[in-house]
Amino acid sequence: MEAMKKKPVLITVDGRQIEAPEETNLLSHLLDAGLDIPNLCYHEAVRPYGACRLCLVEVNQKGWKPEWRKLTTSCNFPVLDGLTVYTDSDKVLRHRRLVAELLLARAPEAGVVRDIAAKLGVEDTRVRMQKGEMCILCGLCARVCAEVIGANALTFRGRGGRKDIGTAFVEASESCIGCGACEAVCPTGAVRIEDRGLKRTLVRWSTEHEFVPCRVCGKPVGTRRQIEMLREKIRIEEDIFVTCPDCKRQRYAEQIVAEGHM
Amino acid sequence: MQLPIRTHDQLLDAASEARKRKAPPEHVIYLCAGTGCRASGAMDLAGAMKAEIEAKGLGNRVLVKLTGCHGFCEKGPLVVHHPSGVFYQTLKPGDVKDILETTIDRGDVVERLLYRRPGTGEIVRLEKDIPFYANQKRIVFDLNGRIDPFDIDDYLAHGGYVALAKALATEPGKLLEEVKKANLRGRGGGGFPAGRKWEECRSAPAPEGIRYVICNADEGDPGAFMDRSVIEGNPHRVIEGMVIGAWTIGATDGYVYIRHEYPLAVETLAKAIEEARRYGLLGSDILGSSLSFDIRINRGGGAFVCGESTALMASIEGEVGEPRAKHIHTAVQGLYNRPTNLNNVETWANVPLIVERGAGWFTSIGTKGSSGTKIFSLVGKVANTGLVEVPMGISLRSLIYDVGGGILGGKEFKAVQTGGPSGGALPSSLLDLPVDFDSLTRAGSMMGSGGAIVMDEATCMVDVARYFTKFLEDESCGKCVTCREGLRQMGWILDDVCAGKGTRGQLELLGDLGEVVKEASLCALGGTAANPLLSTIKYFGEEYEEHIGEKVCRALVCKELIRYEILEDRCTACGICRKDCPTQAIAGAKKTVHVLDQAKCIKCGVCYDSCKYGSVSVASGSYRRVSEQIKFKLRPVKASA
Repeated sequence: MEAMKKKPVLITVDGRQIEAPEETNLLSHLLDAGLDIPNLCYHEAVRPYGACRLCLVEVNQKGWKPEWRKLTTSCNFPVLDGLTVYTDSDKVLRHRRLVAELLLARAPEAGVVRDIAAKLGVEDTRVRMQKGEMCILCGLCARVCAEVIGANALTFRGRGGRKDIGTAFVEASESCIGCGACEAVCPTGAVRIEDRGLKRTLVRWSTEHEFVPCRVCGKPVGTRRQIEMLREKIRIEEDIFVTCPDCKRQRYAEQIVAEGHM
Repeated sequence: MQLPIRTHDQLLDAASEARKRKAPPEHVIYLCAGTGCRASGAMDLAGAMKAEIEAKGLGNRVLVKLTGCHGFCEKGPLVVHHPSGVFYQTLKPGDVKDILETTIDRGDVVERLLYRRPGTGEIVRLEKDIPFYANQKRIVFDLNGRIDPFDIDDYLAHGGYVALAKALATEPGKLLEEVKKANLRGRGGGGFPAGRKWEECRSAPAPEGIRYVICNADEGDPGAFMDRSVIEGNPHRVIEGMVIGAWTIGATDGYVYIRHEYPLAVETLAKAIEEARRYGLLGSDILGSSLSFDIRINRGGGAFVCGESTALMASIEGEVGEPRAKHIHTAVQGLYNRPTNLNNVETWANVPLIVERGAGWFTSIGTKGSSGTKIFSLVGKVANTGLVEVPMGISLRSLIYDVGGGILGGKEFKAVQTGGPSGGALPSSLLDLPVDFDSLTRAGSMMGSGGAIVMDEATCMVDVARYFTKFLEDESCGKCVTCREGLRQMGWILDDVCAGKGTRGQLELLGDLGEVVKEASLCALGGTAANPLLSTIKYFGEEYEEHIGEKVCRALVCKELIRYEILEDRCTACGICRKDCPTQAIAGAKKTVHVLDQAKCIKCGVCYDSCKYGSVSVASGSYRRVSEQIKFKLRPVKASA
């Protein structure tokens, strides 16, 4: 939507000309152009954040001297008219590898981190490993919760090496609606959800939710809080909130048959 | 006097009225009531002085004026007598009687309270002749030791707000040119030309006509307190600078983001803002012009990173204080996404001076690339600890030896860390380096906010790098991987090196980590956080080599690499070290040479400090130091067989 209002400009990426709307985020266009730029904290559903530092590129703006060429993350760098981008220079690759080493030490058990590191030629890290950690503090869970869901159940706590992410006061969240968006966007699998019967447990957030059962078959429809929120947000047929997808399909099929459309 | 003041003439009237009302009596005693002197008892001294003046009935002849910081914190509490200019130092309430009887009654000086030159002991009577002051160029600090910061009339009587009146009668575009010509560069750390920032902010589109100016008073560098002292000593100078900035830029609202830990500065500033409003110097139609502008105080919660402009703005907005990328400058989209011009306290305080005296005057001070003066917090192993304002371009040597009085205790200079924790440590070979923005950056350090921590030979540079790296890791907001994880890993490796467990591979790794933290971090905190490490590797590489290769700490600091011993041929068996040792590691008895059990020793150094006979040594490899011999009475006892 936003992109449509912006003026298209030409940028040069690794010697190739690409047209992109001005002031939109550079990384999305690099990915659209088929370039394999590693990234973990970027997600098109939320605003760029610049935490994981993997999508590093070198840029040089129009009017800059060659020696002003600088390293930057592409997710939070804007497309500018006449911008020159280098995505695989020695400097870029060297720094991406160092970042991968740091990430590998942070979350050695995260498969996606290991894969990205391996692709960059980093099999091992020279720095101290933190065993058992999966979270790289990219903040996607908190950002999606705030920007997309609007629940604001998650936040960063502390700073520096003691930084952590989770619910307020490390207690079960009163704002969480149990929608599971945090798990869906988590790149490393650090956010885990366990669904058992009519109970949903967000393990990392120590928060539990109760599912609303399908009024027909009893299977879970959604969590009670999620449905309450949806009810408030969108005003549609009440039946949808209390019937599971299978039964909805069944009911529509029966309706269609009864009404003789087919 | 008619309030609010509405015209230039009314301002001049108010000033001359204030001058009459504030006309000094026969004697004025300027008593430093800055935070440093208060900590060493200035308020008790002030109480005693006022009581004694009243008791002696000197009320109409002598005025005790509590001022902001004079800078010479090392010698506080201190006073300056007017009109003689005599300077008295390290005063106690008990000295009051003597000062009043000798100086006020008899017009003489109390010799024992005067400053003495270190080394020669020569007496210096007048403030202006003390080398600490004589080698300074105090333009921002000019009124700090002379005016009552809680009284706007005192500022008016000293020519305050004249620059504002002049500015409001000048077209903003012209003012901007003047500030650009003055080449006023940001005193908060970056050294970015203020004029260019103002211009960018002024020409940035402001849809609702709202632009902000912010004064950054979130002074977080350990040991730096110049911004605090400017606000505590002369808050109206900062307010005046901000109003001039607002007029030039077209700003409507101002913020001062100040540390909550600066209660006196907050109190002083709040009073000053209130008075400025009452006088019509803030608010609507300032001095009868079309400018409407007001200032709010926003107190910071103590995060170092909130001194970074984007984190600071996030904090004012009520968000977590995390920086964001600045590809679009805050001058274009800053606070609440509106054009915002942020400058530091000292930068704002320079503005009225430039407007009043002109860009030509300003550029005549300092160097070509860095005009004006800079205030430094001179701390560490230097004789004259305190705040000093010197012209840009002064050499580090002159700063440390002429103004600072050299190294404490006659020790050797080793390094000076400029620019606060994210600056770099510069060695003695660079003592003749001119202190300006560009020279310091080229040398791998920075001007920063103007901290200057002086270190002597007993400082381990690896330990220094570790200390600052850990400080920065702790204060990093933790948003980006390089700064958070990189600094943490660097800290761990430096722990290893200091513990004698470092390897050559780790030295190379430190270089790599330093580079990635510097090059790939999101904000300036990360971008400069590797400076302490990289500069110490660059200038003191041999100390890293010794720690790693020989397991030796030449400064005798790193506990795992040093060893304390009692010298049996010098021990007098006095028993003091044995009594003081917290782990009972020292065995011995009367007339029996004492012996230190290495297995029990925790290397606290208490025995070394407590020995009065020069009988305890500390060593690492071939480096060795023996405790100072203060007493000579007892003879050494013979070692028992």
